[in-house]
Amino acid sequence: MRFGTFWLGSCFILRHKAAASGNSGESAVAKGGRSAFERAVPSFFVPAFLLVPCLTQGTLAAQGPRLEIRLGAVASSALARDEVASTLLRQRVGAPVSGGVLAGPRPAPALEMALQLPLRPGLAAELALGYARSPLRVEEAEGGSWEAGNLDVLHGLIGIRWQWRPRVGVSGAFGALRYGADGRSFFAEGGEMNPGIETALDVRLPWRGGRTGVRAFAQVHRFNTPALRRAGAADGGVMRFGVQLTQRFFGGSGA
Amino acid sequence: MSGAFRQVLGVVALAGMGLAGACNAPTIPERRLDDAYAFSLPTAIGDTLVLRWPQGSVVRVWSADTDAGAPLRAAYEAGAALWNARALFGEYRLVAAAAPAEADVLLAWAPGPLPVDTEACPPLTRRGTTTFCLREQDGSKRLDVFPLLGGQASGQVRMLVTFLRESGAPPADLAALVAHELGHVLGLTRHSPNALDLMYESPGMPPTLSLRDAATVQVLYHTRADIVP
Repeated sequence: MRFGTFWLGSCFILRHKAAASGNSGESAVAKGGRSAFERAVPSFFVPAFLLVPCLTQGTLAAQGPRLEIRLGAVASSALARDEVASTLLRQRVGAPVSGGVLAGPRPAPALEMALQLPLRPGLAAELALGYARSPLRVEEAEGGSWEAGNLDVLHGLIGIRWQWRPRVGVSGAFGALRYGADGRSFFAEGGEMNPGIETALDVRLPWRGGRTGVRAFAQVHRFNTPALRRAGAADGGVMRFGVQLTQRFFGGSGA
Repeated sequence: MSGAFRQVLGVVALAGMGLAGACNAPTIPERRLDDAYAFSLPTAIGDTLVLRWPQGSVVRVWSADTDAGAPLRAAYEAGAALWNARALFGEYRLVAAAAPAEADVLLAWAPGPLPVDTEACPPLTRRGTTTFCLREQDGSKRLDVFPLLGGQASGQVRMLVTFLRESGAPPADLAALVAHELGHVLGLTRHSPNALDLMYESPGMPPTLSLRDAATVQVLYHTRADIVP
């Protein structure tokens, strides 16, 4: 049964001739909004990473640095939420409106490389760089879900590892994470450096000279993007956690 | 290991756990009554229907100006970028189709050759018009498919957007015209009453999406649809 034909048109009037020029207010807002702290984060970490080997120079010759490759899985809490519409707006729409939307990365494989520089017996400075890629999953309160492209997550951390027990180490670190998503979804206007901290526990397995181990970590970081901020979202917090298999490639096998 | 260092580690661990408990993702607050305008399609029998593409879908748009930099193609790319930037949760994505057979939507000049048969669903000749035909089948409402001409394989074109050439030349406000019609393509089937919005019946130049335009399309894509193309 033919229901109808619809023509949705416009009755344009040239109110502003083509002489209008310059940036729109919209793009000006998109470029602003980063705090002094956020701008300072990258300029802090580069010298910090360079400085650590200098500070530990006297001890390196004695114990040597260690390279650790970590392969595992990472999961995350939600990155963003949308409350959609007020009660009055829902009433005016006259059709069921979602009660809310959540978006976050799906659990994914993650790779990390860490350089450990012994400071003294049982204590090491640690520089770590990690990468993970996972689909960005969106879920509505009513149960609908879809994927909105892929997320790339890069992190850089600097911290300290303490050999707590003969085969058990604990560590704490701080650093920054950066998300990217091909300029889609709430990354349409780019991403930001997000400062964060990490705590971790690692256990050396009793074979292969203790070079293989298992590590569990939890990271907490601040999160927002220019597009979310423009839509009215304040900065929030995100938690990432995961488990890794670790392998040391040179340097000592113990603490 | 010094006691001080243990205390530092303890503090870091406690801070991590505390922050984890306080984790609250950035939240876009609910849009209020004045933040959005009506978007549902009024029908001849007096009710309204919500039309939108399925969440997470890619809407393929073919432009009659196939050369990069040609007026219609350039206007389409600018307009699609405006709307795509407001799909904050990837609800839709307008992408260029390489051929009419791959397209969901056609952009074309009027008068001008069309790659589809419009006899059953003819477009109006106005400055900018989005045309689609609704069919009820098995209790659900769908958009008719415009059959492709020239014996091509069955296409999936469900919307036809035509633009009137003035004295054979593209209109000066083509960019605004195309961006506005793409709003209709996405499901904003009504005009905004506010002259500052792109979906006002005669939007200004250069085309920009107002906060109301952005909020309205975001609410639309989280409203249950009556018609899914």
